[in-house]
Amino acid sequence: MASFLEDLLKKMQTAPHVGIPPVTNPKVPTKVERDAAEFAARQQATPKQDYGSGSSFDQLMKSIANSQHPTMRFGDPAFGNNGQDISEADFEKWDDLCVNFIEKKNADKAKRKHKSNNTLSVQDEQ
Amino acid sequence: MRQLNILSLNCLGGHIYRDLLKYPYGNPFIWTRLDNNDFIKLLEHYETIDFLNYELIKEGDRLDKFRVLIDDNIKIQFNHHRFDAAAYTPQRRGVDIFYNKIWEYIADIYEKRLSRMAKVVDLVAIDDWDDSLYIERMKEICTSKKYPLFICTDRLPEHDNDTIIIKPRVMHNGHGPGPGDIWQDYSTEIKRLLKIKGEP
Repeated sequence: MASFLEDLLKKMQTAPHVGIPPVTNPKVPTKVERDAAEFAARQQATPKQDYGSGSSFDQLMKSIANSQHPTMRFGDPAFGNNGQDISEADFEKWDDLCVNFIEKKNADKAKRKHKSNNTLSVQDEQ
Repeated sequence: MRQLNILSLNCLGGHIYRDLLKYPYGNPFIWTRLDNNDFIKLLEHYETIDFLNYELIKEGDRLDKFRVLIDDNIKIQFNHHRFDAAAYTPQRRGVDIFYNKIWEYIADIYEKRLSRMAKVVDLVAIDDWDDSLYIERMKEICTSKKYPLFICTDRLPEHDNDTIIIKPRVMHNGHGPGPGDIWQDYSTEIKRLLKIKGEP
């Protein structure tokens, strides 16, 4: 004679599972899988645009780089790019002009000083 | 009529001349920067300094840093005067001047403004963003020499009389005031020290 427990197990094995979705059936995609597939399809349909990392800073840097200014300039006079958008030969030319001007100024100053010293020594003698 | 002579160690003086008073610049220190020690030397020896004994100095290998050394002692930094090979005439961009012979321009404005500089000091205007010891020393010198003095600082107690006005810094959108804000915050006080009537 079958025990009560054996009968119960038999009933459980044969009973239909009504109303329970076959979530473990690999052939039917889950909701998560369906959503992921839908998202991937939408992504593929959207035309690709290059936003760098997506930040506005990247876009700003790109627009600066593409602008008509060959190099970036900043307020700090010591900034590396300032004044470097000329060729080395041109720079030498400007530098020579500058040095010559300063030397001429210094020579004028020395002359003035010499003249003033002479005037003072003449006054002393008188 | 002589020009007003306002001494400042940074751009505050430039803003007072240009934006508040709309007067011609009365000395060569406008839109320049002086180190604290140099400014103290300028105040201490103002009457005896030979301002005509100056030397233009190019600092470094580049054409971007120029200084004027006065009487072998006091150095003015021309931070708003820049070399630009493409600028065949002096070009103003904001407060900066660009020119491909900026060294000539600096020497020229130094001499022109020096020719207008009076022997009397009408105002010393200090925007404090540095060490309080320097501020104290500048105040001592101005007090002893009776130079009218305006200081915008939080380091010294507020003070207001005919010759010295010390006012606190007013915050602007969460930031400390720049020289361009200070003249607007205290235009009435600055004009009072300069004995100038009228609304800013």
